[in-house]
Amino acid sequence: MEQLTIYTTEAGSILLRAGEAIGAAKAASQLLDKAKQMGVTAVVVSNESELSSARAVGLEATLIRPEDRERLDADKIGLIVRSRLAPDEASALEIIRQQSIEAAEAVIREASARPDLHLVQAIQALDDSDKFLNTTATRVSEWYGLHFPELTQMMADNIGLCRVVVEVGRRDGFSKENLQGRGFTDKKVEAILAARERSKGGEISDGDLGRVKALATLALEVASQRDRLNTYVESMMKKIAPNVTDVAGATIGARLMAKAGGLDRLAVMPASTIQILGAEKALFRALRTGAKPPKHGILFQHQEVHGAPKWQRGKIARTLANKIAIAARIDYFRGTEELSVKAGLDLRLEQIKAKYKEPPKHKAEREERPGRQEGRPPFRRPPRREGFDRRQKQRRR
Amino acid sequence: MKLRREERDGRTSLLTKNLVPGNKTYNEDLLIRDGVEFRTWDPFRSKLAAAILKGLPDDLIREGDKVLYLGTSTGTTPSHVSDIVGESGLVVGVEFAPRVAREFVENVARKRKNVIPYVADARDPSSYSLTKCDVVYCDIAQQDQTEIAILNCRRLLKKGGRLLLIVKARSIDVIREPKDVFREESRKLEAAGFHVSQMIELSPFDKDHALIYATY
Ligand SMILES: C[S@@+](CC[C@H](N)C(=O)[O-])C[C@H]1O[C@@H](n2cnc3c(N)ncnc32)[C@H](O)[C@@H]1O
Repeated sequence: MEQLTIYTTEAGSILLRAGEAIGAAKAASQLLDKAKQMGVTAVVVSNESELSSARAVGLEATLIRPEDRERLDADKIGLIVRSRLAPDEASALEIIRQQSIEAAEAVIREASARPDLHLVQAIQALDDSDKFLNTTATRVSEWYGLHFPELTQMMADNIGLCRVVVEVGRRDGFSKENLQGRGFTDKKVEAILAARERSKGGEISDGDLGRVKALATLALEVASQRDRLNTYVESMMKKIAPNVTDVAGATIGARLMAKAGGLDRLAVMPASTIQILGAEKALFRALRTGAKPPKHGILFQHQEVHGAPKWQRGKIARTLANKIAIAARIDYFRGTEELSVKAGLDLRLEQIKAKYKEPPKHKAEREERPGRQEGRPPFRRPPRREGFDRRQKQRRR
Repeated sequence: MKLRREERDGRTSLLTKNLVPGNKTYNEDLLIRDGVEFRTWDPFRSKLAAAILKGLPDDLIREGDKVLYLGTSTGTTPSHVSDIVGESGLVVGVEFAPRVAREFVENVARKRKNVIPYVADARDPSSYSLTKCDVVYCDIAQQDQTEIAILNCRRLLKKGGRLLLIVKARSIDVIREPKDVFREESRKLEAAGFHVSQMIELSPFDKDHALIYATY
């Protein structure tokens, strides 16, 4: 049985028998008709849409195998010329070139829609949701607590509480069965059921129970919306700021970007600023009063910082900030992943942990150094280079 | 000749014959030699120029060649490769970062008829396969770039074709001696059936970079 292949290129589709061109047309559909007229019953096609059009005209169709595709691709220009879709190699190349330029520009246009600004909104919406969740779930806990205070005291997880309130309702409704599968230990289940018997809570009317349930339902909806936002932030960060994500993690990276006002701003920020992003209040207080400047802002949320002994935190935050600054520049200006940034970070962190294993001996150190017995000199604001930069920037705009 | 050498102040400088007279790609100088316009080719901005000044033969990329160029960035080096292969040649340029690809498309591909641009990942040659090439030039600064280069050569390099691979030691291993990294990458190529002819370190033009020239 004869089997033909339809191979679609930028210049049009080509009908092939045993790898050689036997016909061509601008659109694959014309070739399908031709194949039918030739008495062919089965064709091999090169993309999904041809698959369905071939089946629509009653031909048996299969998708080309990758290795066959590879062979045809490597000779694409030759095939276009031999099937007369273009008079010569130069014109075939020019057709492909025009289409490639258009396709490339479409990809570029899409990328320039500033996905980072959307990401900044998403991370802020995420933080808003958290705040809302916190207050609303606390409210549910207090309100429902009028009826069943023992339960609200036993449950630390407010979202879990909202779920039980919606699904179980009145305290009389609690049973072994409906407490199962909620992550309670057997002991806790016993305790809840015991508490139900001798609850100090008051009665609750249908109307009020309905209102608490509605509020709890709202909290649950916000919680699931929050999870969706979180997934979006994580996948988007990997896409548009892979190096920052590598070094800082998706959420912290996104928060830094939000504080900075976009990936472009983060990419031109000095590491020292990144280190204290999110601690502006503490910084200005320090500048006013001469207190110690903050060592970290948002970066405190990073496991490597808050998980470290106190005396290492400043150093770790500084290293992190340095690497994030480099990562942000690569992400913004080059848009590629560079494993060396993360590797460099890991190396530095190891060094810090080894070198500053022991807490510093403050007193002894200070006594050795004359002139510092008076304690720390007040922090002085460095010369106002910042202001100068800002003015310059404005002029440039 | 499309590539020209000149001695100036005791130093050799490189020039390529401008395919599009009057047009600059970055801020290179345009010079007239024997009535023909040439563009200066800065070895500090282009690793290929650096390699040529450090002893890579001039004729590895020739007039009429088809070149698969992986990692075009904004197109500095590709524009000179386009000059060298001339009207009868072809440069298929692949870059996956949209921000830099924009400049490449605007300033190089749109202006030069022998350049076809793809915003694509060099790990997936199916998106830019159109013809077998005489040369694969790979400068993508990825940890697995040698594997990526091999993959592309298997698919798109002619038998006996040439691979020019830029190795940036720091993007492969931050701790190991650059020399060891270069040797290791050469060995990978030999194991994949290439014949490594030359390995050129690019200092003082580029620190910890080397160009490996191999035939397939
Ligand atoms: C060092 S630059 C190339 C400079 C250019 N060859 C020149 O000399 O003008 C490396 C480029 O490779 C790109 N790149 C990295 N990984 C890539 C991949 N997997 N596919 C395509 N391009 C990649 C980067 O976006 C970057 O622009």
